[in-house]
Amino acid sequence: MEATINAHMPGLVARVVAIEGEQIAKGQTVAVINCMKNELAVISEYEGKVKQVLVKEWDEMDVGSPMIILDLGEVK
Amino acid sequence: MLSKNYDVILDTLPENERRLEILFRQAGDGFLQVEYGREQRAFLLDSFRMLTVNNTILGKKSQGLIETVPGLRTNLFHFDPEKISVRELIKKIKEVELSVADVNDIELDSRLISLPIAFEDSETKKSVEKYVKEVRPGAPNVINGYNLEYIALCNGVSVDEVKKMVLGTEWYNSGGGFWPGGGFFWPMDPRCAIVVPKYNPPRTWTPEGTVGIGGPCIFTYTTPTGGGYQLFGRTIPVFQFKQKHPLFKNSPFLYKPADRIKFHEVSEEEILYIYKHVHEETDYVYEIRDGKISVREWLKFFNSDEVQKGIKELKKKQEEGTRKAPRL
Amino acid sequence: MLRVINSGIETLVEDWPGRLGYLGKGMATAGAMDNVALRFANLLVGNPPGEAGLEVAGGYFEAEFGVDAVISVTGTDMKPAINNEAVPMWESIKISKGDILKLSHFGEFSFRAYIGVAGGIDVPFYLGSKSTCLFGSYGGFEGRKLQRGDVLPFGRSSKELDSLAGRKLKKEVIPEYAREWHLRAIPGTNTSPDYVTEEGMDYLFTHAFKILHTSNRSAYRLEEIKDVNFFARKDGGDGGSHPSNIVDHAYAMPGALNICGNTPVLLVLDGPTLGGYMCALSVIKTDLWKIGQGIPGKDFAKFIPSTQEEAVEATQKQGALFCEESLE
Repeated sequence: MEATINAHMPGLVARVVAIEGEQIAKGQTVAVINCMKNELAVISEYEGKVKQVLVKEWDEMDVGSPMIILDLGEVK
Repeated sequence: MLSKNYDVILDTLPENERRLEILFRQAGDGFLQVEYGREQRAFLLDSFRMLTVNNTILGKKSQGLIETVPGLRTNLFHFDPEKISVRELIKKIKEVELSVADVNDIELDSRLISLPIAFEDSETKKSVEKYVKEVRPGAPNVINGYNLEYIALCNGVSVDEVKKMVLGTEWYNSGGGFWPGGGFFWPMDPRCAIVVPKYNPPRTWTPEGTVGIGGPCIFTYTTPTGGGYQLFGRTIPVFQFKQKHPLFKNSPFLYKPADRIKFHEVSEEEILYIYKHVHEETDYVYEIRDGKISVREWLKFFNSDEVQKGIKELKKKQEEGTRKAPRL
Repeated sequence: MLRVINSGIETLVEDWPGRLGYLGKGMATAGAMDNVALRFANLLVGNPPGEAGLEVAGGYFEAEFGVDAVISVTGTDMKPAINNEAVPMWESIKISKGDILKLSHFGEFSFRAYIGVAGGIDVPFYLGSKSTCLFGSYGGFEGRKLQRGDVLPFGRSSKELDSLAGRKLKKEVIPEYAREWHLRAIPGTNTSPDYVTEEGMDYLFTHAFKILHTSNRSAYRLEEIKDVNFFARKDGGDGGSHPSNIVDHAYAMPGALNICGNTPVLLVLDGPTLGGYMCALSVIKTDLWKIGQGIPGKDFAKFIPSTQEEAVEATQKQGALFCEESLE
């Protein structure tokens, strides 16, 4: 099972915190978006392993742009 | 969908020997643009006429007219369409336009404001330094830590000549806009018409009172802000948010359309002393004199052989300068 | 008074119609981006419709009330909660000293929420308005967006607080929000045939433009004009080398659609009052609030042809909404 973490705010990617292969907990910050000069944390709603990081610093994000793919492991 | 109608010229006054064609352009609900001629030209004569008409209309205090915003060759009327219709407004403007004498006969009220300037002072120098450090390292418009040599290069003249041109003419305000309290100043003597490209990308900081030029217009920065004009130096406050100094009691703005400013060179110490006496002691006395611009005299001056010859010479130098100066 | 716990993305003190009469001094009107939501917020708490409230863009605002108060939340659904319990929108709510109001982020539709407080937000008037001009850093609360720890006093309520609680807006007057915002607009000042091709104007009035994520209170930037022969001119004459250039003219602000190169830019409340780009149309005053609710990087704007007459009628119709009859 996979899940995609999408941008919740429009703006620029200020930082990508998560790295590929890293185990992410629910509620953990995976990236930061700069929206109207504010840095806003993108928080994972899931627990899983980072399968792929789709964005890099200063990429332009629309609302809903995919940012990170998580591998959620086997469905229990 | 409504029928297509992109014709926005609601009315015109035809061209005659006394004036250009006058166009009344639709600009939404609540705005009307009055334009002088169809050609995109930059000629002070259009502004002299416009501001004369403008003053008459403002003097009449028309119901529903909120304000006017003069540019160089267009004037924007801001009105409340629930109080006055655009047709009624056009009618009123037309009446005034028709009552204005031959443009040659115009005598436009114009104050003359003396402003001290310190060329290449340490404060504006800091902003150039900051630009090179943080925004564009190796910027070609920064030579020996400042913009004066680049301005000279663009115009095919020496730095000394640039200073003489800044000091050698009265600069005419065609109107404010763009930044709180600002004005756009054009040389009354076209032989002092320095032209330069703007910073690319712009600065992030410019100190209050900075005197700069972008394209053909001089601008004196009213508050610390970003900006793109090439810098000469620093003058005294021309705006005061807090309205402490008596000059700014009724309004935080110094400049009015049709004002002329004339620079004289002083030391940086004197500029700093005046800042203190405007913002803190509030006892500095500005040198402002009432006056008029006689269009007939200005045209005589403008059309004289000497001035026309000077314009040609400057243009030639500028063409050469533009070729040599690095692009931004 | 309230004390800011979390200032959110961009929370500002704004009123309506803002600072009128200073365009020529370089000061935009500022004021609420969605004046309809602000005016309803005020109606609900018994204020005059144009009173100052809080504009929350994006979301995450949180504040503690230091006094008993009556408030209302309108605009986008940021899931307002008091002491972590959900409260309804478009209704007046009684608040007790010590209560904490918390907003989440913007809802599925629209971008800005408004908080009205009985008595209004008590910040000093600057040049006739309490609104913040973020672009120029003046007005409102210290000329800036709110920060953690800021304390905002309230004005005196027109009525007893208890009599103001529980006022509800009728369902049918609550504005409808959309993904694609339809903005009625009047062509001008620069259209076909002289500045834009007819094909180009048709494009402006039929295309649904994506709102770019770089949009803010000065300018709502729209996606580039492409695949159309847009400009009717080769260059901008004395105004500049690009056909979108023009000799600096005043902008019909707010609401003018500026064409900057190939990018259409809708000039909104804090925008520049003058500049060197042409304007192809103006959004009518009645519909401008919609763009303030457009989500940058998500929503679309589409221009619908309108006329002066329709615009005036629309203003009157809209103005009539802000009265007691709109309440349940």
